[in-house]
Amino acid sequence: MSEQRDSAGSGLIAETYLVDGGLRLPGEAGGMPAFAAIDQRKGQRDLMAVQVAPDAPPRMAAISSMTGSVIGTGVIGSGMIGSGMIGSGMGGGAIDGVLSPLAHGSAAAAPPGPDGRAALYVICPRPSGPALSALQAGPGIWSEAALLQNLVRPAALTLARLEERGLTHRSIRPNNLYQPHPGAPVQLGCAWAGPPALLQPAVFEPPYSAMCHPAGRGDGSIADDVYALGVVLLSLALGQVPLAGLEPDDVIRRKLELGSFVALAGSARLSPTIADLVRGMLAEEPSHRPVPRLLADPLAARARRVAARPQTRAQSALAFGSAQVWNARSLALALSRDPEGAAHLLRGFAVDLWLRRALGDPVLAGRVEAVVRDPDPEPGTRPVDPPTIVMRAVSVLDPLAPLVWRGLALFPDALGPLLAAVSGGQASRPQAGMDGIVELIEGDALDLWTRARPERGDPATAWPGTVELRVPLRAAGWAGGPARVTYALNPLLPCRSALLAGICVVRLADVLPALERVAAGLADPRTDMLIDAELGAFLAARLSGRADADLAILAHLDQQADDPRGERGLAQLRVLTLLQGRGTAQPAPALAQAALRSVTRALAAWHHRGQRAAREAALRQAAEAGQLSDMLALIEDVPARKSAASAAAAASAELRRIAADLASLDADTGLRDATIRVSGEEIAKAAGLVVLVCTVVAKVLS
Amino acid sequence: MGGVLPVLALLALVIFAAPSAVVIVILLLPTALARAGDSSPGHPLTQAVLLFGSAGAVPCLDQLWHLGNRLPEAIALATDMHTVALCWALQAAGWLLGQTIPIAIAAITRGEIARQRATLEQRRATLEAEWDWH
Repeated sequence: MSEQRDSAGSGLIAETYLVDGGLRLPGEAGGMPAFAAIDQRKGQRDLMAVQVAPDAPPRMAAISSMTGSVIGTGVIGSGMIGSGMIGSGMGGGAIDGVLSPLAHGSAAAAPPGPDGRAALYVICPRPSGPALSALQAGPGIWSEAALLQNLVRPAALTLARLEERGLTHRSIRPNNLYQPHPGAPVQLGCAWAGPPALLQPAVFEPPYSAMCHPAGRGDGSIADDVYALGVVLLSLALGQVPLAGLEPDDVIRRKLELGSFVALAGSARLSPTIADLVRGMLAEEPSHRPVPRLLADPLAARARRVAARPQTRAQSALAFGSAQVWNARSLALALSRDPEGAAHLLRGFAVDLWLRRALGDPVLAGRVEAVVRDPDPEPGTRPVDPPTIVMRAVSVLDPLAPLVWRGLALFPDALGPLLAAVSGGQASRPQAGMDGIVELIEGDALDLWTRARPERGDPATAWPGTVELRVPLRAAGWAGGPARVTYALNPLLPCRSALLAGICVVRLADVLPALERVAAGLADPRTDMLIDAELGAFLAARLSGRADADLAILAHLDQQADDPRGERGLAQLRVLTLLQGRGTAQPAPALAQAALRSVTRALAAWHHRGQRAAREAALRQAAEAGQLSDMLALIEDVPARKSAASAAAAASAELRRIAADLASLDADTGLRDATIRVSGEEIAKAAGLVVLVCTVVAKVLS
Repeated sequence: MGGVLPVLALLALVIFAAPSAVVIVILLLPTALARAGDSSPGHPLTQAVLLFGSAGAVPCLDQLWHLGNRLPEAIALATDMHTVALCWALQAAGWLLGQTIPIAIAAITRGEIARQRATLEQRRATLEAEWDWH
């Protein structure tokens, strides 16, 4: 094991593991970047931190199974944010024979990823020896006894343990198998810091897995690990990796044309035992490969032979593009690589003609013809859809083939990692790839694919279900869309929001501390934008829809330059309060100050200046204390709002009444003057009458 | 018709009670003047002056009728400066009241309106200071 030291810093993960960024460990993590790590509690030094690529999230199911419950998150030490798992609790613990994960998380002082952002790490033990790829340069060909005792038996036992947990390894290749010293059993390397089989060369993968996008291979089944082990066995028996130097597509095509064993072993001289074992392990049909328990007894496994019908070779090749196709499997591969040409070929009925005449398979030809004539097996009037035709035709031609959609090949259980890779730009045409995946979820292609291969019931066909995915995909605003689905399907994908300024945020509990750190470093502490579209999608996924309404409001208001009524600030505050309530309930004064200005605008609902000023003062006080829930309570005080609204209405009515009274005072002055004059004259007359009556009465009485 | 009836009444009075007519004409001369200057509908000012004048004329007519209602006594009464002055003063007072009472009422009314306006404006200013609807 070679080590490299540089001047990078160190960090803590899960409050336990110190990452020594200065000590690089090339070749100890199957080609992934790795650094030395130390368990500070136990003083254990033989650990490594495997750096996770930005758009390739780790395998949560495997990590959870081997480490236990999720613990340890939040602000650790001085400004470091981490999250992680420690190997005890709900999971079954580490598995012998494989470098089992101990924790995962990030640390601000650990070396950043290739994109310059804080990277996620998976902590696991360091290999006990060099990789087989390094050894191969020396000892060369392994003996049959060494192969059986040191490779097949220990690896099969380890695979059996993984299978018992419902896990697969999917990274069995020479540079990820380790041997402490010659004659010792091999140890399986770390396979958890990225999507399954992400780095597997085509030669070590079954052809159907190899033809997928690297992130679209899925967890697969333990039979895929047996296949990879078979290729490693063959490589060590031959002293070299077969088909080395060929392009991946050529490797796949060769395997499909000739069958994996013939393609890889060719005419090489192998001992009968090894030849029988490898033949069984490289069977095209996964169910024909020996299970790990059986493989642990290689002689018994050798005796198990399953007759597989050889592929029929056509009398003449079908020319498709630059390829010459000789059997149905190769045809399926060719069609999957050129979807537009494939649709044209299928619609011209050239394929079923070739199948009928050159391959002599009228049943298969009839099934392909049925697919072209009616792409939807259910009665309906849907128009013919070229991608669906190609997808169904490929699965009819080769039931083992992955789902093929617009040139993208995948197994549905890899939808999450594939979305992460494509949305992160890891595709030849990312936008087209993303559109294709969205179309896949929105349509019924996944269901059709499963129905088109009823004979296949292996775990590789397990997928989340389009109905469950359509709901978040169609949700309004930032709460919906491909980004939310990506985060929902990748629980360990760090949030990509630019607002987080490169801080690695994986879990919900990490969001608020990260935003608080960002807010504390802002030049202008009063910014309106605390949540953007990417963070909104992350929160929608992690909050399982509890913030959807507010995230929809934020998306709507994002189109507007101003927020005069503070609706954006209020919606942001509601989401942040939700986070503070769910997390460690730590105060977030910097974040509260950042939210204060826009939130204060929401107090415009209080029309009484005195009441509003009092609430503003209380709001400032709550912001200084960093209590977001108190701030929200001050603004969303429903009884007080109702009371204030009714008082405002009464005051408004009184003002209108005053205006009307003032107007009436100025109105009809002429009439009023006339009335006054008449009144005066009447009074004068009345006075005269009184005087007259008094005079008469006085005269009468006298 | 409004001007014919008093003339006819006066003619009847001159024909059938000439002494009383002499007294009335002399004593109520200011009323006739007031009527000449009163162009308002219904002549309310004239009526007020007439009522006051009647209050002054009634004792004279009573005295005339006690003296036999003869013309010499009537002339004597109608030329008695004290009597004439009292009667005319009463009519002047009636005219003055008819002129001043509307002015006084108008002044009082305007004062009341100004007080109401001040109260309303003060309340409005208070409300506008307390509340903000923008």
